Amino acid sequence: MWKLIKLEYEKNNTLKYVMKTGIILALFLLFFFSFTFLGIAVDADTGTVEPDMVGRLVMLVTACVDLVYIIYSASMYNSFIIEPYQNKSMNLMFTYPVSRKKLIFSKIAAVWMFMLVNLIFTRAVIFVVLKLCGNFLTPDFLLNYSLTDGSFWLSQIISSVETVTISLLAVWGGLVRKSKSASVVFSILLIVIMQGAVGEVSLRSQGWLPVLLMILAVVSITLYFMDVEKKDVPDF
Amino acid sequence: MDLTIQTNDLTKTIKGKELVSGLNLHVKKGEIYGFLGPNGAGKTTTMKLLTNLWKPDFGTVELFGEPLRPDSCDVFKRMASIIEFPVFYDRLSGKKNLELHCEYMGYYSPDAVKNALELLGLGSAAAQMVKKYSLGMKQRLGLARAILTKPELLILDEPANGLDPAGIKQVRDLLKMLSREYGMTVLMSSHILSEVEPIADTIGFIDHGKMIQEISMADIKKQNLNYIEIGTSEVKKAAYLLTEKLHTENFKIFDGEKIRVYEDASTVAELTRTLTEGGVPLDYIVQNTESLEDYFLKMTGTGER
Repeated sequence: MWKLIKLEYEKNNTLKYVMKTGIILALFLLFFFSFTFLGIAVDADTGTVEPDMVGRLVMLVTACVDLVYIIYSASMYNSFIIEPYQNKSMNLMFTYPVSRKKLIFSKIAAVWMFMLVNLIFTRAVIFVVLKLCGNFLTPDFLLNYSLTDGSFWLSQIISSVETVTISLLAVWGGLVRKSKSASVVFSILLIVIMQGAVGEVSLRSQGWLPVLLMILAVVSITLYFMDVEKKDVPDF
Repeated sequence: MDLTIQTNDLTKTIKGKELVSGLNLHVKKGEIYGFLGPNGAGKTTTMKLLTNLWKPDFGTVELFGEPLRPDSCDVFKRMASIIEFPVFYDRLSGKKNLELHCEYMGYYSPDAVKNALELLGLGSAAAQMVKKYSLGMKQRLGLARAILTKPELLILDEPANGLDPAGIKQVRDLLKMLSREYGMTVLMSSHILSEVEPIADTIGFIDHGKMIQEISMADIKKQNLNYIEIGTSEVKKAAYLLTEKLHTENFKIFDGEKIRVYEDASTVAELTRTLTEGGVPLDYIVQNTESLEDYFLKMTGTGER
């Protein structure tokens, strides 16, 4: 299986996705550096920051990075899964002496693993860089999160797993509609759901919502590919 | 008789239309099988059924004597195919595409990729990205990939597509060599009938999803090869005279302006005299030998009656 995943990375020019991750990270660093050190978080009228600004920072980093990575994941799933159906390279894959389920799973796993590592890396670099900069520059609010706090990193990892798994719903939507654009539209809908709020209560903070969406994503993709051995290769 | 491919009552229906119906195909081990038929006859559908890309609604496929099941995949180690058109990873080089193919096929041979590329005249283009290849080069690369792992069975959908005459001859010679020297079984579809004729051992004619006939080239060559072709603007009058005066029924009208008489007893002199006396203007009258194309046209009813 690992060999199949490696072949997926080779075929799909994964280096370009690494570069995209670099660009995304650079833009996030610019934004959050400005937020933390250049007065964006300071209220122009009162000259102060809101209480628990660091909590807001963590929430903002999580939300913004999730938002971008849901769309980014959908885009990568498009290249690895939907595009092969469209350009018929999936036909070639299905004439190899490898089970179709393994081939499909290797594609999903390749994107999932890549996105998870990059998402965790992006969040980690943002938090570490801000904390390190805080040693040399004066932040607009106290950066009192601890880089050695295991529970902090655990929550970041869990949140990353949720995001990357939920994005499978977007690719499921694209497969059902046989369209790469549809998967991007689905990813935007997911963002709306995840970032939505009922009054003051954000849906994302409700622990059950990400879990429900994760389960829905896994079940949907599993059902879609359950009988892949027995069905005709669909025409996209 | 050792059959590499055998189908029994193979049927495939899509959206209420029978693409292939009750197809019985028999491809012997080591032979070159020419699979012929007009556009939309069901050739590509059949090839998709043989490679498990599509699943039959009825009937069975046997490859190397074993039934092809929906989840069969080990059998693909012994075969290679080009269905519709060869597909590549365009941003990778020709060489890289073939190396990937070896990885997926579990085939490891140090010079196999280099040899296959050189055999198909792509040695100098090996390092170029496939997106820069012409149609003919892509077709050659597809063939290189197909023969790379020395499969026992090759299924090729229009292998000469996009190739120039020299390329067509090269492919023809290559397939002949692979069949004769390596015992490779080749199932190839083609519209270029004259290219199938020199190399095929057996011909299968398919039309409207049904197998019209399977016949060896040797038998085709024995059957009704000779005919007399008459070019005239008054085909109806000529046909009437052939029937009434010469009691000849074994003829066909083509394109509304020529008649082919297959009657062995007829001679050019006799036909000329009868038609001329009957007032039929003759553009030409000539004795010919039937080609595979002629046989195919008769099989698919393209010749009118």
